[in-house]
Amino acid sequence: MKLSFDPSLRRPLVMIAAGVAAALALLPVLGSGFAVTFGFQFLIWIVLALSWSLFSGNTGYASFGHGVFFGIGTYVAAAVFRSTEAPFVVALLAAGLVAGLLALVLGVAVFSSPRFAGDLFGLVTLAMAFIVMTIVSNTSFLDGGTGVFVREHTDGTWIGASTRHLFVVGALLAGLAAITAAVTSVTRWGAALRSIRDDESVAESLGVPTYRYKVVAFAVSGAIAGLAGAPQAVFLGYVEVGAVFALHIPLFVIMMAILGGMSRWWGPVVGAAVVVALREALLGLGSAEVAQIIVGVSLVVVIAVMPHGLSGVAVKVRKPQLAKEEAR
Amino acid sequence: MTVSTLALTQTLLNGVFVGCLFGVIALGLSLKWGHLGVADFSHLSLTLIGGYLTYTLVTELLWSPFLTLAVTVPVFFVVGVALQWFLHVIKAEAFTSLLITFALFIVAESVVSMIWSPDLLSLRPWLTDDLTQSMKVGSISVAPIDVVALVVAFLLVGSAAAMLRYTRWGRGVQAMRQDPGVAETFGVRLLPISLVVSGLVGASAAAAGMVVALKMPLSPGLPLNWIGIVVVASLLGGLGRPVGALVAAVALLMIQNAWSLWFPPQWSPAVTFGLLFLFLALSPVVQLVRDRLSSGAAREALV
Repeated sequence: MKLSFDPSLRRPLVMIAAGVAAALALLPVLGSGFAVTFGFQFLIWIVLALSWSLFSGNTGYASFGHGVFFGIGTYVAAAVFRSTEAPFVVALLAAGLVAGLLALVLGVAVFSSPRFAGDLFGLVTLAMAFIVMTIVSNTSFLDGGTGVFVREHTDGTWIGASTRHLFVVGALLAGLAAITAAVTSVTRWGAALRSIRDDESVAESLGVPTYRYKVVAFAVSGAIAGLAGAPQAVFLGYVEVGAVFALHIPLFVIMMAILGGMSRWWGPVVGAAVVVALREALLGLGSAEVAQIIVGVSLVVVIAVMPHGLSGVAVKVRKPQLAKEEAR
Repeated sequence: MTVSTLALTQTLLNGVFVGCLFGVIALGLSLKWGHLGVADFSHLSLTLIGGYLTYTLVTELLWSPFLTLAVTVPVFFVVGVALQWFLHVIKAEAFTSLLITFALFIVAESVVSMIWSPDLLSLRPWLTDDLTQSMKVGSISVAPIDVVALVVAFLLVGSAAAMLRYTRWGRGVQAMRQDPGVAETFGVRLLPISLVVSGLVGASAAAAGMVVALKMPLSPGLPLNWIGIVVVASLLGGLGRPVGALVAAVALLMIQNAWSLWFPPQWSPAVTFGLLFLFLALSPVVQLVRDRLSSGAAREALV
């Protein structure tokens, strides 16, 4: 694939750079308490929603396994911290690499058969979640069923010193995910991925190497989620299978992407903002259970009334003609 | 490690009984998935809620567990119909409905833990002795609850299979699965039929829920442990085939139980999914062999 600079990319890239710079500039204002913690979590959700959408939103193959790549990243980083004295960058890269490799292997296997489309693909990725959970909780190198204390290993290092450093890493990762999403939205490569969503057999017959593109996009999507797992391990301090691989994580990610809408690359960011804000407001009201119920029910409502998500609605308001054409 | 024949027999037999319970749950999933195209996760939640309702009716109103079915079955029928109606109204595709039922699955977990508390609730102390005292058949012991599970499984799976096969209505369901457009042209009314199928599946969750409440302590996270076996049993048994789902569930549980005699039991979930991947990897091969064989037969017939 030849990479030539597309002028239509300039605006999104400037926007992303400005966004990351603004987040970093905001850091001193946020202080070091709740606001930074909240900001960090928000950034991680953005990374997850954008990377999920990169593969699933573009190709239409909806994965329930995104939490697994995120969780594998968390565990790989924890293992690096526990077994070595390596700096954070090594843990970060290892997390992304292992998660990406897992996605690559799974993609190579799953996409080789056209049967694994639609709901069957969703179930295979869900099954992978259970297998990985079983393996991690029975492998003493990773967890072995007792959980891993990360905090005692990161104390005294740059990354473990302050949540503000985590925030910086989160902002950079969000920038990376956003650039990948924006580039995908305008290049031929992205158009090829979207042609898979529209009609895979037609795309194949027009010369799109659908198998290779699906595998690569899935691996990139998994790798970015894995990268996000590394700061998450430091943030959690104690990683444990039940929390790291909780099924509400992929559900929230899917919800953010669908709520935000996937017809624009920035849709998932909007979705992440809404879901995080909604959840925080609800947690303030009462129990975590109520929050979970309301988020789940609103997902059902969103699917029912806004199939194109919030970004679709925004486009409809600003450019009604364009939205009408897209709906066709 | 050597395992006595008695221990092996007892373990395999327990696998059969638990397999019957999972077979009933898989029956519902398989029917909806195969015939309506909805891989309904919330069916598992409905089963759990059935268990909790049984618990409440038995402990609060002191009903017999079997009498509770008079309430739960009609209520769950309506729930099943309502869910399918909702999916029909929003014109949900396969993946959209999967996502919606998955969301309902997560919602149900929270709802259950709010209403009934996240703690374990056991119905056992409330049951009469003739349900809890296990019987001895030779040197093998059988719990009456397991007999209940067996009977429920055979009744539900048998009647589902018979209805699909021998009634006009069941043929309509099968026709709808093969080609909805053609079926409609021939007078199969798709919407009422799919509503009824979904309702009956919901009603089966009530019966399965009663068995769950009798058999194990209830907790809100239980369905999470069921997903693997139920989904794998539905796929291995062939989607939409009642007997297949039951046989597959029983076989899976027997294998899992036998596995835990020789190998660490905490790996047994991986066994289930390993079998699934093996099946999915091998099924194109099986299909190829079958095609070869059938085309060979056709050629011979021509000669």
